[in-house]
Amino acid sequence: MSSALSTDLACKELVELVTDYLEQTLSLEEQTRFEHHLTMCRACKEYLRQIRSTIDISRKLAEHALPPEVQDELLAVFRRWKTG
Amino acid sequence: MVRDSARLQSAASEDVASLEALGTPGSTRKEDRRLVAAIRAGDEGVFICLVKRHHRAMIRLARAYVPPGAADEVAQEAWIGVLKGLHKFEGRSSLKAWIFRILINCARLRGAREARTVPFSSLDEDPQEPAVAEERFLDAGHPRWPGHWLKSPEPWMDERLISEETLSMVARAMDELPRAQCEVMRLRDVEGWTSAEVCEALEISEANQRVLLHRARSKVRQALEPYVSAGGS
Amino acid sequence: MIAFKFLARGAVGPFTGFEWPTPSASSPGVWVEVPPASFPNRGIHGCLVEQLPYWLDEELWEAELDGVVHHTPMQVITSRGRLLRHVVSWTEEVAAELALACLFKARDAAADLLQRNRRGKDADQLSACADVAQLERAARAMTTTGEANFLANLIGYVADAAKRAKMNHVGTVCYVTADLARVASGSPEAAVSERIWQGRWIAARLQLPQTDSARSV
Repeated sequence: MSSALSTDLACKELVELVTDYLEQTLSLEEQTRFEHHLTMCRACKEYLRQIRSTIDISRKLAEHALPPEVQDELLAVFRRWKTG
Repeated sequence: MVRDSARLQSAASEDVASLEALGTPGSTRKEDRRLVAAIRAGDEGVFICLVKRHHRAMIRLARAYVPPGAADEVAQEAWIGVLKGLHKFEGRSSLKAWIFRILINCARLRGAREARTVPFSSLDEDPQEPAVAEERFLDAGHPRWPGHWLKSPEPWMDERLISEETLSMVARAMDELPRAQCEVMRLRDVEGWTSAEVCEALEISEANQRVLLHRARSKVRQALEPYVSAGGS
Repeated sequence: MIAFKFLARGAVGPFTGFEWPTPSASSPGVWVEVPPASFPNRGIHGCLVEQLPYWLDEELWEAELDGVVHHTPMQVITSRGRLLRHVVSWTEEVAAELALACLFKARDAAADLLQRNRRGKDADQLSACADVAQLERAARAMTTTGEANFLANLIGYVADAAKRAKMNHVGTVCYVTADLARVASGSPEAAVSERIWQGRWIAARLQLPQTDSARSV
């Protein structure tokens, strides 16, 4: 005997589980409850979308180019270390 | 890619190309040892590859400890520390984690000297704050929907999400996070490190890392909300 | 085994964003498999008929599931699966029909209890409502007395379900009406029974093939 509904998440709990969900560290049962809640709660679906957007925007902050003057400085550091 | 005026003395160019790929998540210990050996042998190309891979992230992380102007110097100090300590690197941790620990130590020391409040511990400073303000939910006494949304999140507007302004807002919101949360979110979400790599570099547990990441993301979302929501300013 | 999957538009997994390989005119979609080590936390999810209402989404697909099978109360999880056919008869209109069917069934249950508790006037008023907006107004008006009691709560559920039916949030309507059934009867099993009724409604309406019985775990 089981009740799939008796252990439904409240939205207030769900927002605290969002990171665990994205990290895939929820148990199978918790994950199922989480996902089911999203099918019947537009607000929580939107909240998850917003956390994902926040992460996507953060990703754009990464810059990988090394300014030439910085490269020259660090090359100089390296050469001093080599001879030192 | 390589400036003419700074000719690199490097081993065969294909070594450089293959080493470009190193330092990515999943780099093995074997690859780390090759890198270290090449640098100790004086290979400039390999060293610059390593620098390119990590330098910007090091500066960003340093900003959690020192004023922005000092971050470049801290990162440079860290590279000096890396070179000086390279002969002691045993490969017990990944090279990346080892480099970033040196960086963090430099940043902490410098931060203490600059008299910026830098608590030593990586533990979180505000353990009780919920991901979303309590008043946004129906209270526990509601007969049908205790804990459900009272004031739902408004959809975010696509055009606002891609703006430069939003990008700077996220950067600023991260800068204002408690230091430990800032570190974790920077490394995970900005730099794309794996959870294992972050735990190794910051010497924290998986669970601790998750909690910090959770609080960081919740706060940054909260900061963004008024600016990117349909109902926002 | 045959099972069903609700997917987002374009046969996309609603939670993973996984783009499911779709069937062609002549053959089923390609098999999708998960590594055994990650099973069952990562797996192919499907619904038996009685589990359909938990996962309502834009597209309904008939699927074949294979490999290791793990039954849970709300879904079946297997290690491999493939899409067989897009059940195009599942449309927004049918979803709206389902919402109304759930709503008026819930209304009738509430009205019945009101009658039996000497609130015949309220019962009749609810029963007389012919459309969703009217029902929501009537139910909402009855609960403004501020009384927090069993009957007021039931009426509140009806008002909540009506509001969501008006907004075409069928998944929410199915949930609310199942919760009303639980409260009305005082037993969690009533909610599960309501879900089974909802699933069978969908299967009958769309003439879906039978699936294995859902198992309690």
